[in-house]
Amino acid sequence: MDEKTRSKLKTLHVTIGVLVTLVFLSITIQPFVGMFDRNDIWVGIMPLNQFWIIASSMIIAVLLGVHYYFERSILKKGVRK
Amino acid sequence: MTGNPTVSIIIIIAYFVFLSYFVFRSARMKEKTMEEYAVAGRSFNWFFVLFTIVATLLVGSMFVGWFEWAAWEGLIAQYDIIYVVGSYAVLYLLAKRVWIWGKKHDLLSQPDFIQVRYGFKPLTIIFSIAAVVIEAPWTIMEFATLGFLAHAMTYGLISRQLATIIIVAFILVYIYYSGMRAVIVTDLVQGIISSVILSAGLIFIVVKLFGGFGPLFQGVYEHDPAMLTINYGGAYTYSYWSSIIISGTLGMFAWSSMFNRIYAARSLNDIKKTTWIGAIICGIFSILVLILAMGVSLKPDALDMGETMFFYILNSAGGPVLMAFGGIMVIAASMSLIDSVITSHGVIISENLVKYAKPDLTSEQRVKVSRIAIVIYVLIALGIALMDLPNLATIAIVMYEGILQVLPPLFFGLYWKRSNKYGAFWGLVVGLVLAITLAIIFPAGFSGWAVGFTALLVNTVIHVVVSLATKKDENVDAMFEEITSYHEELQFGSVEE
Repeated sequence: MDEKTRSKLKTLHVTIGVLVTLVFLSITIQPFVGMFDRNDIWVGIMPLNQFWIIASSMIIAVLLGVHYYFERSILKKGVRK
Repeated sequence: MTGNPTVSIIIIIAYFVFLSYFVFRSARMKEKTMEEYAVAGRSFNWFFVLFTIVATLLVGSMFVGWFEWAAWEGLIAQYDIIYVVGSYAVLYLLAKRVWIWGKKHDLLSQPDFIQVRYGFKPLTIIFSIAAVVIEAPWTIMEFATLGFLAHAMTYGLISRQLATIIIVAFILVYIYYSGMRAVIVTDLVQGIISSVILSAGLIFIVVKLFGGFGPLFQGVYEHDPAMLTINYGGAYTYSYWSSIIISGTLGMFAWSSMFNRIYAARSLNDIKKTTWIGAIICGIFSILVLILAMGVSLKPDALDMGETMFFYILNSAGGPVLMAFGGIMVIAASMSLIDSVITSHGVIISENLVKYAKPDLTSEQRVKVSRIAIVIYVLIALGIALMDLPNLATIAIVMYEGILQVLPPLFFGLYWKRSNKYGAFWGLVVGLVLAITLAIIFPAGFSGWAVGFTALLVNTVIHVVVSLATKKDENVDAMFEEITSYHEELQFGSVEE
């Protein structure tokens, strides 16, 4: 694996890893979870806490998908070289 | 709950006939070897892997213990959604090394990985015993859940005990017949049924009974606003919320059957591809179930039904036909977890316990040992499941305190070269003893955190300190080199992506 491919992969791993960790912590650990635990603020048909439970879990799932596709794309380009 | 059980019984029988057709037509063992029995010959593509992992995460207890919890206390039970998705993130991170080493060293079980990585039989034996003993309560819990489900579906005509015996006997037959291949084929059928089809059914029920999700949330807010808070209006601490999510997320990877599912994949790409799709499927499904459960708080008659309230709601929305179909899907979810747990335990007993005592056994003989072990194991678990049990969800949470202790040898073994057999052994032994002791003395935990975390912290510190104080394992550099060289082999096309 050449240096450029390695560097691209590292950037991808770090970026997605940090984003997934931040979203996960936002719904898991205090003080973040307390900030979102509000039933007096509503987002559409549901309170903020319910919205963030749904949104954070779906964001994590989508970030995993983004990582999968970018990693494949980077590795394929590396192989073609 | 009253009604005509005939429809339910016909649908249950039809479902088992349907499932039997798939198992005996598509899941015949290709050869009588342990690799075939334990990991289905490492032959399954991403679609099968997707649903076999979905099956691990969507369990029947979600419709019994968790459903009831959400109906009484609201959002706190939705920790399940976060930990299910978090588990996929952990799986995505760790699957690569597990699969590559599994393929290169012909690993068949989770303790096989421990043996190859640390090369220390006392550690592997303790690890194997811990895996079987700690996970067994989950099997028992799911057996009991199956009994509850069928009992409720037949309006009490079939007793909980008889229903449990019939369904468990069915599971035992197909596991005995074809091991992991039968597990994965049934997981595909049951995973599609329980996740995709039931999701549509749940939306229908919410619309029919509550007029949609908006009116449901509004109704719950007016009925009991504390239900729409994560800590149920202060009844729980946020530390408790953090504790159950993190232990669930990490603990999922400690399940021995998870390794068998990873090893069963045809390629690394087949696992990675499934992870994000599985997270979306499981996330959406869990969201729908637990939101519907909150709506049950608006139906006092349903609340009175206790752990069978899910069936009551199905019956209210669509009569006995919907209840029977919904019930079958829940049974499918429950069966999909326990069949793989039982299979992996049979493999552990054969490969990591009996094989050490009788190393000259052939692969075919070890398949026989696995099958015998599975029969004995199931009979013992069944006997316990037929007794009365306390709240099912509580058992699951308590169990995770023990399961957490196997994590340091796994995580450090995968990512830290300096982790060695002495650190892993002493950390695990002290962690297990401490977790059990603390769970007896301080069942409520410390400041909202389960006692398993305290034991895990001690376990981790011992693992790190002892590993640094003693010398590195001899084979570790070569093992880590295999991960690097796998990428090079990938580039030159000598292995599949």
